[in-house]
Amino acid sequence: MFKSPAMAMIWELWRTSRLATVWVLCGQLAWVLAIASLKYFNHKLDGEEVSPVLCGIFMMTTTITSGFSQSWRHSFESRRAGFCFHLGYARPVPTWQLVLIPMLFMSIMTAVCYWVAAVSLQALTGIQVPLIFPALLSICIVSGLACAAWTPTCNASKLVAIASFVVLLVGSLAAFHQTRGATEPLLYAIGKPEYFHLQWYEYLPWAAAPAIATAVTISGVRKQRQGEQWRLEAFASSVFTWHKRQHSSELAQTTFRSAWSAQCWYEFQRFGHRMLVFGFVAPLLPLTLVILVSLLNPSWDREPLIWLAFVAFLPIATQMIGADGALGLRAKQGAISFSVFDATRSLRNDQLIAVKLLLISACALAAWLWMATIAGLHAWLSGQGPLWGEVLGRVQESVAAKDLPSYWWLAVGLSFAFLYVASTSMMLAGSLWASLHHRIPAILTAIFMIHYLLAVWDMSHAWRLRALWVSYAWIGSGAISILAGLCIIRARQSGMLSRGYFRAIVALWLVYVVTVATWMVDLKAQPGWLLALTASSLLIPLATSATAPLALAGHRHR
Amino acid sequence: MSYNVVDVERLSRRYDQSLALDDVTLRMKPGLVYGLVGANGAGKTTLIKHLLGLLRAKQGSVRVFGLDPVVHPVQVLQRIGYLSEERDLPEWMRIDELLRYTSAFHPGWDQAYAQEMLDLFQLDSRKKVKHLSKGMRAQAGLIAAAAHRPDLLILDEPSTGLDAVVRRDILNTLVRMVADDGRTALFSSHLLDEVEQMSDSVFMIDGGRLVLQGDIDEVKQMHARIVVRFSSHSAEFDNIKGLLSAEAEPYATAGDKTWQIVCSGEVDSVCRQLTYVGGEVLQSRSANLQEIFVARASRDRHHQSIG
Repeated sequence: MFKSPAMAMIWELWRTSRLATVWVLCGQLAWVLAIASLKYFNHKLDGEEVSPVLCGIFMMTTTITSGFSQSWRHSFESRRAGFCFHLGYARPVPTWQLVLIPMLFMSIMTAVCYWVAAVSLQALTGIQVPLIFPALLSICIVSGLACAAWTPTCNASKLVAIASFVVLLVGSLAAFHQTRGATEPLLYAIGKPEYFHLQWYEYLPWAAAPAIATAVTISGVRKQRQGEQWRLEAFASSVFTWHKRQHSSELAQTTFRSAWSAQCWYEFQRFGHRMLVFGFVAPLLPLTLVILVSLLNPSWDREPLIWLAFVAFLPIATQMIGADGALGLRAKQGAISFSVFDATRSLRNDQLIAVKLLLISACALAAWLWMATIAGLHAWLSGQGPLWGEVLGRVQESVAAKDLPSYWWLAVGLSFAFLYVASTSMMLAGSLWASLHHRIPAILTAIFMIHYLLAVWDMSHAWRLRALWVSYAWIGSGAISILAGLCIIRARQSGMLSRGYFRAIVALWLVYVVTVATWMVDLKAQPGWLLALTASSLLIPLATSATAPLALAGHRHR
Repeated sequence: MSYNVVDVERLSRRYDQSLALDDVTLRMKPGLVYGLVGANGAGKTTLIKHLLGLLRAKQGSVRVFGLDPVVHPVQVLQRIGYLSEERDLPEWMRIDELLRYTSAFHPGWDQAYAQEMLDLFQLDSRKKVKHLSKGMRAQAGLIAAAAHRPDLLILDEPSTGLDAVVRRDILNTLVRMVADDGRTALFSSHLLDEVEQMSDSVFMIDGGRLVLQGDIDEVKQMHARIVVRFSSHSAEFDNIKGLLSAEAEPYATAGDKTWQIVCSGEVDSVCRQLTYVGGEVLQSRSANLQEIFVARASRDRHHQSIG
């Protein structure tokens, strides 16, 4: 029995957030361990010049992750606007309490997340990490995001509120940095202990911000509880409602050509259009960066490199966003499950996966082409054509030196497409299985951390454990081959992989293998373990393409 | 022709420590409406999920139209119309989009029939699912499930959210029409009078076990409700064969005590046994489904608690 409603609410908050908080703490401690091990085994990092950079990197990442550690409560990523504890409206609790308790809880948890990591780093490495200001900043982030997400009642206002908060935060931080008068690079400057030596009154604005955010949220939620909204929001809603739609009971006579095309439409509506929006907006980032750099340093002429970096990494970013959206899993009664609506579509598992893969690849390609077009347009408009010509000329020279036949390029293109699809399939399969077997990611992370520490130690001890790594390579190549074979056989035998799908991926895989074999010129010069590992690795894309339908079946037919 | 639409053989399912289904065997014939009744958590939805292939039969076997729904999802799901208990529909879809999308998966989609039902429910086809009330959502789900005239219509708690008029007129008509066309319907419900009214046959599940199955009329004939009076407050029922439950009437005065008894099997035999132990049979009639269900469920719980 709880003594008061407040205690019951705190218990509820802790009960629903403890797992996420533990995960954030584990991640931050792993990060601390990584920095500590690097510093321990590599004495070059002990120098006075490097320590502040390490500290700066640590503070920046930890402050941000702590600030976002309670994002499950902000619900700023969800499609629903308004106070996320709206079920509490029916409870006999005053509104200020209904808002204040979660706000305080999130602020405390955020600060704790930061302090645990900071104190651990200080204890392990001796680096002096400031404790007050970064924690305060994390609290500002968490309360500001909560205020921006909970106060508005419609998604458009929510978007505006979040964007305004981000602009306000970045502006405030820039102004703060100006007042510190630091001349060094940002990461170096914030890593120095004196950077955060503030007078008490300098803390005031940062302490007042969460209080203001809480007051605004209480006021907004009070209106929501009574079924009202702020006048400004109501006015905006009335402006954007152009006409009242008439009731219609007519059904459109157009139909989809097939179940496949219907599923493509469905998945596009579900996540594809978000990928396209991301792809459409993505060039703004390099464009802003390039313009800013040009303004700050007019003599700098390496803009094509920024564009090339973005063009190269955009497919990976779109792939991650797409794979996340394509999963279609949702939390229900504490368990992650596949929607019954999706599961009862009369399509095979490989068809369902193929639609997802096709959409992710198509949207990524569209985004990539758009980015390349904007890059070209920018080069043309800013008169950087010759510079681009120089960069592309170098690429052309290095390729021409290889003297490869023209059809090889087709094979390279197909191989890249296959690898892209296979890696997307691996992401889907990994996420689907990880949600079924919660312990596996933790076990794999632990194994990785142990080996990472071993490798770092071994690096600074003349590779004393060489025999262990070589044996790992042999064991790994055997394990990869066996597991890949088993996955493919199981997928085929269980009927999760149709003959057509299987033939298509095998054909693409063969092209990929032949392309890689042509490229690997001098096999005799390589050690046996490396050859074995490389040969078995060739099986990975084939196996991952086959495993996504199996992973989906794990959710669809539990 | 002994063709079974659904053929479930010795199906068991365990969730961690609890047994959701325990050795269930059932068959469903075409042209009949089956009611699936049971208390909360009895295993109704688990059974339905097995029929849809959403759960793999780990012990026992499930065949729908002679096929394993896990191995042949396309062939099976094309011929099934399903309304889930949670009314699981994509929130972002409009009703017309939902119906257009669903039609692509079912070759037998009848657009005119969908339009007819839409008019009947007076639903706004341009409205998004997220803006629908619980009842409207059930109606939209019902159209999506039934408009392709499925060979097997599965409705999980269809009455939830529907008002009494829709329940009595539309749902009943829809389900009966399925059966009259020679197709099959299975619906789970808590409302036993509704099951009694709508279905030809009934499956009663309790604690994961199929405790009763058969034609509704036969089931009712097999059970009787007897009112019996004993001159003393204590009555000995332990040795009476066929007795399912005995409930003392409340507000009994000193002296006589009246009991309501539900029994299965030969009614005359039970009456004779009651008379033999000193009871006076006041009334005897066939039991309704509600009484049968309560009697069987309480008996099983009693046995479980003793066990």
